[in-house]
Amino acid sequence: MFLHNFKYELLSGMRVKEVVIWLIIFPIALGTCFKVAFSSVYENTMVFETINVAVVEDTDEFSAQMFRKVIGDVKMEDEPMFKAKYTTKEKALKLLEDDKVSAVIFEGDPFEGSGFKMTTASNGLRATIVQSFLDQYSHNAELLLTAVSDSGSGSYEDIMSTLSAEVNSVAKKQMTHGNTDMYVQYFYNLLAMVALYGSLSGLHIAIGGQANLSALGARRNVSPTPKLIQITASLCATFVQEALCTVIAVTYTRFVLGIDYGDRLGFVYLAAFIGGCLGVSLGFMVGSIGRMGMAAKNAICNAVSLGLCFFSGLMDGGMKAKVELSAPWFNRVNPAALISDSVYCLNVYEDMSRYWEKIVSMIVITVILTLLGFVMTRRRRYASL
Amino acid sequence: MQVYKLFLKVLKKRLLPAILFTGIFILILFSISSSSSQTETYKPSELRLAIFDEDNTAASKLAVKYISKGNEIVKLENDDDKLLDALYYTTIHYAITVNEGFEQKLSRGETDDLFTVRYVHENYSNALADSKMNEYVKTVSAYIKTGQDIETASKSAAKTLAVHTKVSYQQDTRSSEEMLSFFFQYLPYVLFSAVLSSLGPVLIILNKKEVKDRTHCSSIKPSQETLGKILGAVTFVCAVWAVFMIAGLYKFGSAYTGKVGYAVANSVIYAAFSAGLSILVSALVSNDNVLNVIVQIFGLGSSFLCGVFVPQEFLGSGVLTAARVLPAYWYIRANNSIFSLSDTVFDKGEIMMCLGIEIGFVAVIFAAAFIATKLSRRKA
Repeated sequence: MFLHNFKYELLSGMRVKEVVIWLIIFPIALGTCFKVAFSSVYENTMVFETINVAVVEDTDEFSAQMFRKVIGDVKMEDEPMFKAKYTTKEKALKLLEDDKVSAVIFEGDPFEGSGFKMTTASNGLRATIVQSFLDQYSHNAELLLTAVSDSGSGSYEDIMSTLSAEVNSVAKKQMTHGNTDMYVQYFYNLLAMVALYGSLSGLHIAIGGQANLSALGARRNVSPTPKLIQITASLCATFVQEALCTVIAVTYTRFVLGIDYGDRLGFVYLAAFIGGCLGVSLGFMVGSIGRMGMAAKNAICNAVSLGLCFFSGLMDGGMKAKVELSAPWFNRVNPAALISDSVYCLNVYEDMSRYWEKIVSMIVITVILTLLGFVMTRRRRYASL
Repeated sequence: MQVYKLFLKVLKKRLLPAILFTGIFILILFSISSSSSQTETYKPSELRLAIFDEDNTAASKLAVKYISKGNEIVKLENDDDKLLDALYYTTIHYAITVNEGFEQKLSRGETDDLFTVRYVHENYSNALADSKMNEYVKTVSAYIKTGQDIETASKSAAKTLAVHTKVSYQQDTRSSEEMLSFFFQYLPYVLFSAVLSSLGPVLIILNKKEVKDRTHCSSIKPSQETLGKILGAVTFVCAVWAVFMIAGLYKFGSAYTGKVGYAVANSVIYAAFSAGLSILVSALVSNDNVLNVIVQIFGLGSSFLCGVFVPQEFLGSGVLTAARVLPAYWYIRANNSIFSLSDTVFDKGEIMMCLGIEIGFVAVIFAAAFIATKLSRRKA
């Protein structure tokens, strides 16, 4: 009886178009959007571009020449750090207003005790780099003044050579050999969303078993097949469908979009599949609550899945970290966070223990939600419809 | 009027999902706009660090004191696994260790490998932290060259490096408006999703064969039917838009001044576009789940492509050129100019141009909705 129900549940499930559309086309379309949007984000955020600045001249010839030489010579990643335009105050502020420059520098003479001033339109990264450069220039000037005024043992040339020497005081240790591109986490969350939208399939199981909510439920309730067997067969068939959808989502993002999930791809498939089962059980549990109609339960599933994915970082990549700071327990129970974390752990950690921790958490939540669904649907009888 | 009344009747029955969607999107909007203001702009003082002093000398203590200044220090155990977790969740940005022999090496004039930093993500914030440490070491070395001992040199360096360039902002109102700017930045996604998720199913019911057949065999003209639907959609969208605006006013009320009027106008136009798209999509689609696919793909997809979630300045020129065909691009471009985001400045001409283009989109979408409704009537 179980196998008979399982077979027909699988066949009828494959014919429900919305499942195919929702769970297969969705990650393909959205994954492609992500790929297009993020393709150049790395270059635009990590590759340095020369910063345009306007310099208002206000000092004597010698100081101005020295500053001009330094600002012209300074480089970052073999590119000139600044492109300076020397002009009057009014013209400089107009350039800033017209977005032609990132900052206006009012020349000072640190050697005479008057510091630089700077005006900017925002406190973005470019402005911070300009400020950092001016700070450094002023600090070096003060040091040289000290060298000249102090009767110490060091010479002016010694200090000049120290200040101009390359210093590598920081030894860096990357803590992981995995893919640390922060934008790849949006794809982890996309997998989480696909898995959680399995809840819509789970919802159909619960609705299809309730005589007051669907015609199929009415027919099933008058049949002699025990409810436990019916629902278990439906759940198993839906898990298989969900496995197919998540396999397609992982395969498409990995092999078509080229997303680097690390070298343990089999475990990524496993995590996505268990996440999908979790999504199905979530929908089954929501569908089993009370007498609300399909539309209301559908809305609850959609809203809950979307909310969970939001807190896992689907719309704002830093959201999970913020949740971790204020309510770390939520990241341990949020199904979307567990799914995306499990894939992340595979990529970042050599040790598999964290991955298994997430997988076990997902399985426990799946079992709890399924049991709750069973408890709510058992012994339900209908006097009249 | 009959169609409008029917719309309200159906809406009443579908009020729970509408409230649910509006509620969840308000939650998303507030969470995202409140948190973004702390992360979108770089402030060197906001690094969260774990510092371990393995040298434990006067010089290393002064170095730790200098690095700690202006940063948030998080107390953690010096254990690779625990630090990896903290770095992964960005509980800390950087784990800095002052290496053993720091004082001795620096006294001898050696400047290499005095610190070890452990990290997961490489970014500009970390690069600036490195540069800060290098500058400190360089300055201490220079003071040592003037004849000072290492402790005095460290103190002198800290004093010298404490002096900063005076920075002024061309627009001082920015900080008070920052949260509000993010509220309006994320509004197109939530407004679009809340409107389509709630309004779409109501319109789909009105387009059901049985309901449509009853309307068509009555004396109601096709134009009256479409107008009734549009009026219903406009009523609903106005209500949702008002809920968002009132919520925004409650949360960021003090910043609702001056140029914010442009942002409000921008959101009105985008709400109108969402209403038009709802009518168009519901005329073409007959299933709630298919509608949801379209909402999520279009809502999230256009948000990522147009700069709602990722600032436009970070998107490639090709992506931005393609995004011009979407109204969200013009909404964000106007919003950037209104609040001087993404290295832009307030420009009334630019804002008016963007609003004009958005109005063009609204006109096109309503025309398409009219045609689609008419065609679906013929098909029926």
